[in-house]
Amino acid sequence: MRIECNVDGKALSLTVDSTKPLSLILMESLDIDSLKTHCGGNHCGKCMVLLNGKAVLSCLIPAFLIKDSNIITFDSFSRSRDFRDIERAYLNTGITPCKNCYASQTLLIEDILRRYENNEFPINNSEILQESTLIHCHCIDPSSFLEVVNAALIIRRKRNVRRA
Amino acid sequence: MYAELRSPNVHEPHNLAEFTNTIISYKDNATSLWAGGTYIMSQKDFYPSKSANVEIISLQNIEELKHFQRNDRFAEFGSMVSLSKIQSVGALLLPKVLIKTIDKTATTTIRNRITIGGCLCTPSFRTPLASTLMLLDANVEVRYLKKRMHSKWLGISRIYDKNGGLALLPNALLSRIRIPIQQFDYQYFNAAGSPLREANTSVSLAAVAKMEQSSISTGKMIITIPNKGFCQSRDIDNIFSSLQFPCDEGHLSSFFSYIITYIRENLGEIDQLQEVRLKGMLSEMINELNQKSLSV
Repeated sequence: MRIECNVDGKALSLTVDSTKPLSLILMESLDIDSLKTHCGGNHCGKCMVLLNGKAVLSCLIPAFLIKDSNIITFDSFSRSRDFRDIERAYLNTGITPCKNCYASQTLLIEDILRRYENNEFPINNSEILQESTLIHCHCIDPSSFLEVVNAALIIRRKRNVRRA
Repeated sequence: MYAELRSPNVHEPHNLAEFTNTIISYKDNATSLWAGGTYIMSQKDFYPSKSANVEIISLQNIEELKHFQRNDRFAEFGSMVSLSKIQSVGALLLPKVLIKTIDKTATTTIRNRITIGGCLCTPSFRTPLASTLMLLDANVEVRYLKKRMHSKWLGISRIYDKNGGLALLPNALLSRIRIPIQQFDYQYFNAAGSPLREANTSVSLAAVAKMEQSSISTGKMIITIPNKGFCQSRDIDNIFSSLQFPCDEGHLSSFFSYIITYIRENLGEIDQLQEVRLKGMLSEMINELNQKSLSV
């Protein structure tokens, strides 16, 4: 199946099996460094990417669903200004994920920030605590994850105010 | 080249008429309807697929399946509406027990991908969402092929057989789900374990009740054992409705023993962890009802 999509800002035309998981396409066909494992849909949470701006587990997305979509992996996200906000939150709180889940945790936090950055609603703690269970890694406990999200959200909102 | 030749064909109809044409064209081939894909992609042997000549019909682009409407009596969702969407649009409208069931189904990131139709049509395990919808007397519209395409409304329990297995015809499409808007004095839902990854140890309990002072006037409960089936019985509902609150440990134990005996007789032996989890949930529910009766 021929698929046109945009990965990390590059327009690509791929010929792949229509049901091949996105995680395998990124790892095998495109050599994306930030994805290291393929759990085969076991919900390990370590294959997070942003698909059209929303965090998804790439092992659950088949090739035919990425037609004409925009995919951002941690490789390109780590060069963006948005990443700096999350990096600063890690430094300010002293909580940093391990190297196995750093990419996925960061992209998940970015997705949460995008949900909350443009409105004044208080953060829904139970939702964030539930989200923290998505990535199966013991390096960050749910309360620390919540702390990082809160810190990152403050930094992001301040930046948005300055930009406005 | 190799990938292109071996790859399953994917059809993406844009409306129900196109879907019908596709189904009629490929009625003799192996077809697979694709909703959100979370369940299918989680199967161990999904990729690389052993059967290459499968026709996949993706329902993602069918506009009719993404609609939502409501009136005073019911809310109606197309089967391709995501659980996140149902939760956000129905937060103030739908019964709390349903909102809590959706909330416990998965994290927001996963719920964005899961559709209500896909969640009801998982063939190898039973989801708590299906049981909560049974409890609320929801109806579903099923479209099926018999010379031409027909559609009919069924009570949701009729799309499952007595063991909770999916009993839809091959290529049948669940197109709409209608949920009655009802008021209950007490609603309870709790689930332990993931039905997708730990079907053998997971269990959930949902209950609704209308109360009069310290007793239940109408009470219904349903237990989901993902690897065995749904446990819903008029006898259990009658015992539940006849409980007087505050209810002591003795009554709770005999009620629990009755439920376990019923499950063993009708669904078979369940895992010990499921039994312990179920007892915990039942005890939590009775405690809440005790508190409610004492605060009246």
